Amino acid sequence: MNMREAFMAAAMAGTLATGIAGNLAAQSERGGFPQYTRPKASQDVLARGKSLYDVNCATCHAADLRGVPAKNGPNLLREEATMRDQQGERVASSLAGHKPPINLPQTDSVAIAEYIHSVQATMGGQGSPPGRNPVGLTYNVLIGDPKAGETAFGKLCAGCHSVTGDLKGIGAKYAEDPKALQNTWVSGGSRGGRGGGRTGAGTVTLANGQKLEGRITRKDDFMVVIVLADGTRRSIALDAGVKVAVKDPQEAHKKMILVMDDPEDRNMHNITAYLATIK
Amino acid sequence: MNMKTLLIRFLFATLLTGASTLPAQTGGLDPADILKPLSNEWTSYSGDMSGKRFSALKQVNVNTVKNLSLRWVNTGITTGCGPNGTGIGGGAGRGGNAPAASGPIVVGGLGTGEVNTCAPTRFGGGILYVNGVLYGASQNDVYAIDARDGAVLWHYYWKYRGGTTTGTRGPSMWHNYIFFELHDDWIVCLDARNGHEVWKKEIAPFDMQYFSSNAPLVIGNHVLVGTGNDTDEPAFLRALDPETGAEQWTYYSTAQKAGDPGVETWASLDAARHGGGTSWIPGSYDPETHLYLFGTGNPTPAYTQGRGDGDNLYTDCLIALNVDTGKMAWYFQTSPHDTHDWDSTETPILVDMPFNGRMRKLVLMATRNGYFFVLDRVTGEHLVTSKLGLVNNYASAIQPDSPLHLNKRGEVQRNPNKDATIAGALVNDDVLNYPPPTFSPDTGLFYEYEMNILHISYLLEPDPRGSMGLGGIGSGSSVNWGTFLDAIDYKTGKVKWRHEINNSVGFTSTAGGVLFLSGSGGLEAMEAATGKPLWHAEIGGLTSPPETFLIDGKQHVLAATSTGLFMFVLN
Repeated sequence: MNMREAFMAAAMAGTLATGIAGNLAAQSERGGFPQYTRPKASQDVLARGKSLYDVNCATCHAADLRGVPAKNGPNLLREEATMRDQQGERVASSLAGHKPPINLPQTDSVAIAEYIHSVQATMGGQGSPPGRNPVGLTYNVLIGDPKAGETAFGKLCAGCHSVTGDLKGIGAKYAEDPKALQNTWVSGGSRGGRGGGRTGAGTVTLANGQKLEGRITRKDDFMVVIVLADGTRRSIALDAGVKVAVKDPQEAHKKMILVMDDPEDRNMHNITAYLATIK
Repeated sequence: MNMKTLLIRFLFATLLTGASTLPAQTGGLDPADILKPLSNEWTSYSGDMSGKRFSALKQVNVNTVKNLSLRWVNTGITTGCGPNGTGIGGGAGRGGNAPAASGPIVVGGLGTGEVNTCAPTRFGGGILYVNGVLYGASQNDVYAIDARDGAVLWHYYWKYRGGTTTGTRGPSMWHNYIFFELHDDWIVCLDARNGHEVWKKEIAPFDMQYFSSNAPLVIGNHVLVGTGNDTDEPAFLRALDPETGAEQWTYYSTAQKAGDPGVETWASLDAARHGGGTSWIPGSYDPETHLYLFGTGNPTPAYTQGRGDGDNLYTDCLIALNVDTGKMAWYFQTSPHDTHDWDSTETPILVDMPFNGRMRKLVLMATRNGYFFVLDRVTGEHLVTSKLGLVNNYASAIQPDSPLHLNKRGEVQRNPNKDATIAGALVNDDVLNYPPPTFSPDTGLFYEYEMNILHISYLLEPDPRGSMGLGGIGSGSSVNWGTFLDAIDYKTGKVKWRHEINNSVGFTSTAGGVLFLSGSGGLEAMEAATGKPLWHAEIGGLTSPPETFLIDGKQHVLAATSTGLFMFVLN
């Protein structure tokens, strides 16, 4: 009887064995690494594995398997013994190698291994542990000084913006999500993003002096493409005499950021804190 | 190598392959030719082992480049899929004299073929040109292609098992062998004449989530293989015997046992062993010193705690290894204690140029953190550090002329306040990445691309044990100041001129004074001295850096796009 059969027998001996189901959904999501494609053990085995893990392993390797540095207990999610383990054999060997050895019946070490595999199956992409991007956690973004933020706003932003005008009530609007408030004002609202200023509203002046106004969708060393107000697409070779001017809606904002940025992000956090008070 | 050894090797190779009766070393690529300056052929990832990507060819020059014309295009090459690689029709049914889009398919691999998808082939990394034949690859497929008409001579198809996939850096060649790393962690040695497997070997355990995309560089009788990993597994560079795949040496980027050098720069031996520093981009080689110069990747976990406060050696380092022994001669860390995923993996460039009034053997390198470095490549002596980018604020202030924040070795010291924080830190993105730069000894300029994006970096994993891999942070909104080609004076590190571009897949410069790049519409040629646009072909953006070589005495330019392979000739 090999280990897999041993483990199956143990599982069947329980109440209702749920069997082993291929985890095909994980395969399509994250590719074929065995941690995501391996058959998952039955709930019974996993529950038993978790109980055994909590009693025998969690003190040094932590309940979440990510290790307890103070006890020199390594992160089991990334250990060779757990990553390469097929059917409990490497985990058992590793347990036996502990000083003093942890000698468990084979069915127990297999159950622990299966439990570890089940947690590894929930790791995020690119190696992160389960819960890479925790959902529903709120961290405090409002660490700045609103008073200093008001002063910074006056210097950096008031030339174009006003808390009684375009930003009226902005703090109330984002009361539930100060992080979104910060992201929005730093990037210049909906104008933010990765455009880089090569495309957008602009003017092409042809060699004969004719001006074309519209949305420039391509500009490089040889060609410009402009979509006119009526939807007409014009492609124009950048020959002598052709001039292109793309209006960067973020121009003023970008200049402001270059002045605003400081090595401790004080201006950013102070302005965020100030804007959060504008109810 | 003496004749007797050659004969024995030939007999052995023939026995292994059961291949044709042609001598194994006839018509192949002599490893000595790989060390010659880039000119008639393209024999390795960078064209030659200096990493310069500077071709001595002059037929195509600033005056003649406008006469480049399309010699052939092959838009029918597809990747394999299914159990035998023939999931879709390949070149079948093409009329006229269109180049054959498929040749005999040789099937390998450990999967079933179900995960492979048939699609137009997206060639990545270096495409070799040797003796009239191109050898190129995408993730799971290698091709030999007739350089005169684009016909596929053979197609090696690997049924892969999945896992992390990135862009391949291409194949390499030693005599009549083609080497290629597969993403699910094997290297294959193929007979260059027919694509049949000569040997194959596992590079790293797939079970540990390694993924292998590097070009297996050939240096003398060493094949250097590197691999990637995002689950904090030990990172290494390994030398294999080209004839058998047997391991010659393995260099680990971080300490693997107590007492290994650099272990004191980590929180613990366990942190060091899982500390990253993968080698996923080819380096360069100096035949005089036998030093292989290459960069190591980011430490892991990349963005969060868990590594201690030390420098985390030898991650994010430029490393000089003796290629015969695998022992490190010197290192230079471009990002000590990196917290931003600033791999140091860009191909270093080796040049012999004047510096402070005398000729020096130099290595030039720009890295993902947006800094440019010049060192003495023999001793590792630091000579220049300069900052690239308009908004590069992770170490020193964003405002122009702010003093750089360097340690006494000339390495960049980060500003810890710009690490990801719960409240957010406004910090620059990658200033550049792996697409290769080029250096022209004629202009004295190092050509590199420069991205200028600030984003807000939020810490999502405050656990003092840190996250793993690339986990633990989230990115808020960003603002973009555009992407540029920087022409950098190697003596000072200052940007001499800057020209707006869309992105980069890598550059190639020539003694004809031309710089080739991927423009937004396709292949583009510029005057290397000034950045003046000279010529372009509207074939779509390139997927790998442009290359140039001689076919039958005429200079050609090769461009790969997502729709096909395009060969241009100067008529």
